[in-house]
Amino acid sequence: MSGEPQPGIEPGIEVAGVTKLYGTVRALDEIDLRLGPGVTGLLGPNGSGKSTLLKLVSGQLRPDTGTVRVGGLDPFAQPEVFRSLGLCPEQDKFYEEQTGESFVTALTRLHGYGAREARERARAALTRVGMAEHMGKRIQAMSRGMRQRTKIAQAIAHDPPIVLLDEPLTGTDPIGRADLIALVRELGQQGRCVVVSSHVLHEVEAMTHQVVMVRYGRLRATGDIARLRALLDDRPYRFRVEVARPRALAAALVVLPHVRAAEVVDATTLELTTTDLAALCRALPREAAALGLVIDRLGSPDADLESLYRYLIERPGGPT
Amino acid sequence: MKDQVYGVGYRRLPEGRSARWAPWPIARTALTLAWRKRSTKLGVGLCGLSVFGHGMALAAQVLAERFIDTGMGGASRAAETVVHGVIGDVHTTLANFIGVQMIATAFLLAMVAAGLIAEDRRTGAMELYFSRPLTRRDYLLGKLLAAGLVPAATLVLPFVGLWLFAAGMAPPGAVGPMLGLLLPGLLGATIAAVLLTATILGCSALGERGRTVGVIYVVGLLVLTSLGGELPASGHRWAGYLSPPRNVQTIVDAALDAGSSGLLLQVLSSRPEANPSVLLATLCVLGLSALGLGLLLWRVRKEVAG
Repeated sequence: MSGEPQPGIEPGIEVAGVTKLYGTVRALDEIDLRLGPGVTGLLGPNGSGKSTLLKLVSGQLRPDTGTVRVGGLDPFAQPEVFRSLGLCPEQDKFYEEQTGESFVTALTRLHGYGAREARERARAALTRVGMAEHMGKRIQAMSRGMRQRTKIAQAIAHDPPIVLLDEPLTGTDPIGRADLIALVRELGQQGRCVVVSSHVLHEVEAMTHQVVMVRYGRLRATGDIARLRALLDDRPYRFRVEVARPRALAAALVVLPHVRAAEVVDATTLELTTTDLAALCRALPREAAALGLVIDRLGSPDADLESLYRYLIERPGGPT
Repeated sequence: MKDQVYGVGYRRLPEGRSARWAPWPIARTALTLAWRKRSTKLGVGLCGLSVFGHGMALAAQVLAERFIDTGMGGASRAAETVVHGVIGDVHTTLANFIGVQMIATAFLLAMVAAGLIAEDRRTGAMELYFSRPLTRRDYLLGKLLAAGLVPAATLVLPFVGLWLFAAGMAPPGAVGPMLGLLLPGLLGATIAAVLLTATILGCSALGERGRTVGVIYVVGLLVLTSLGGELPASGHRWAGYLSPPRNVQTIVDAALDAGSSGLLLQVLSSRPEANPSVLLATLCVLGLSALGLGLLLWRVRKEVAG
C-alpha cells in the first residue's frame, strides 16, 4: 500500500501492475498495492473492481498483466497458498441441507485436517463468531445474519494469516454487527492481513483506518483515512463549534491564516472552514479561553470516511 | 499498516500439514448430503430390493435344481444334469441382474450425483472449494469418487455377493465352471459402473439444477434402453447399439465366449439379447463414457481458472 511496509514485516498481499480485462472492459487497470498486517477496508461503488480484485487475490482469476502474490506465492498457480488464506465470499454459497457445523467441518477438512481436528476447529470458529448455540442448525433454516457468521467461521477455522471478507456484515443485527466488527479488529490486531470489502462506510471505519478506494478499476486512494483527508487540500475542513457567543469566537478565529471562513449558523453554533484542521484544533481552545467561553460541543462533519468517500468516489476531482 | 504497531507481526505461512487425500472429504460431503434426501433412501431401497429379488431367485433356482427333483421320491437326476441346470440358471439370473441393476442404479445416481457439478455451479460452492488448497484434479477425483461409489456399491459388489451366494449353494461340481461366469460378469458390472458414473457427471456438468439433470438422465437412459430393446426386433439392428445395457451385455457375452471353457458354453441354457458387433458395442460404451468425462473436464476447466 502507500509507503514501505514495516521493517521486518513481509507484506501479506502484493499486487503489482495488475490489469484485468473482461472483453473490452478494463475491470482493473494497472493496480499496484501492498497490504500488510492489520485490517484494510476495500471501498468503491458497484462495478468499481473490488470483487475482481478479491477474485484475483483469492486465485479465482488470472491477471491479464502484472502479478499477484499472497504470502509470496501466486494464488492462481499455487493452491498451497490457500492454507494461509481464508475467504468469506459475498454470496450465500452453501449446501443448504448441511448444518453449520458440518459445513464448516467439511471445508476445514479440505485444508488437510483430520475429521476430529477439523470438527474441533469448526466448533471453535463457530463459537468465536457467536454461533455456539446454532451450529447444529441446518443452513436452510438460518437467518441471513447466521449464514453470514457461518461464512466467516469457515474463513477463519483454519487460522489463516490472510483473511478476505466480502461484505461480511450484510444481514447481521446490530449486536451481531458489533461483535463481528470486534472480531475483525481482533483478527487485525493479531497480525493477520484482513481485507474487508464493504459499502457500509461507518462499519469499515469502525474496523480500520486503513482503506483502499477503487473507482473505474483504478486506485483512487490508499492509506490512513485522516491523512488522506488532509491530502485533499482543495477541500477545506468544515468544523462546527457549539458555544455561548459564537460571533465573538468567530471574530477571534477568522483572522487566523488557515481559517477561510466563519459562519454563525444560529445563536449557539459556529461553522468554520479551515485548510488546517490540526492548527484549528490547537487555536480553538486557546481563543475560547481568552474570551472566557466554554465550548459545549465541537466536531468536523467532513473529516470522516464518509466525507472522504464522497470527495474521492462520488465527486472525484481531488488529488490522490 | 504503516501507522500501527502490531503485537504479533506477520506470521509465516503455516508449515505443510500432513498430506491427506483431499478428494475423500469432497466425496464424503456429497454422499452425506445425498443420504439426507428421502429420494436417495428410496433409490437405495429400490437397488436393495433388486439385489434381494435376484438373490431370492438364485436361491430358489439353485435349491430347486438340487433338491426338488430328489424330494419327489422318483429317480434322482444325474449329478451332471443338476450341475448344468444350476450353471444355466445362475448365468441367466446374473445376466438379468446386470441389466436390471443398471437401470435401478441410474435412478439412484440421478438422486445422488445429478447435482454434484450442477449444484456446485448454481450455488457457487466451487468458489468456496477452490479457496482451499485444492487442485482441479482433487475436485474431479472427489466428484468421481462420490459418483463412482454408488454403482460400485449397488452393482459391482452385489454382483460379487450374488455370485458367492450362488456358489455357496451350488453343488460342489458346479463351483469350478461357475468361476467362468464370475470374471465376465464382474467386467460387465465394472463397465456398467464406469459408464453410469461418467454419463451422470457429464450430464451434471451440462445442467444447472440437480433435479432437472436427474430427470433428463433417467428418462434419456430409459428411452435409449427401450429403443435399443424394441427396434432391433423390427429389423433395425443398428438401434441395439443405442441401449447401454445391451452394449454392456454384448461385451459380457463376448468375454464369456472368449474366456470360458466349451463345457460352460454348452450348458448355458439361454443367452441374453446382444448386439451383433462387439467392437461397435465397445466403441459405443467407450464413446459415451468419454463424452461424459470430457464434458466434466471441460466444465471444470471452464469454471475453475487456476
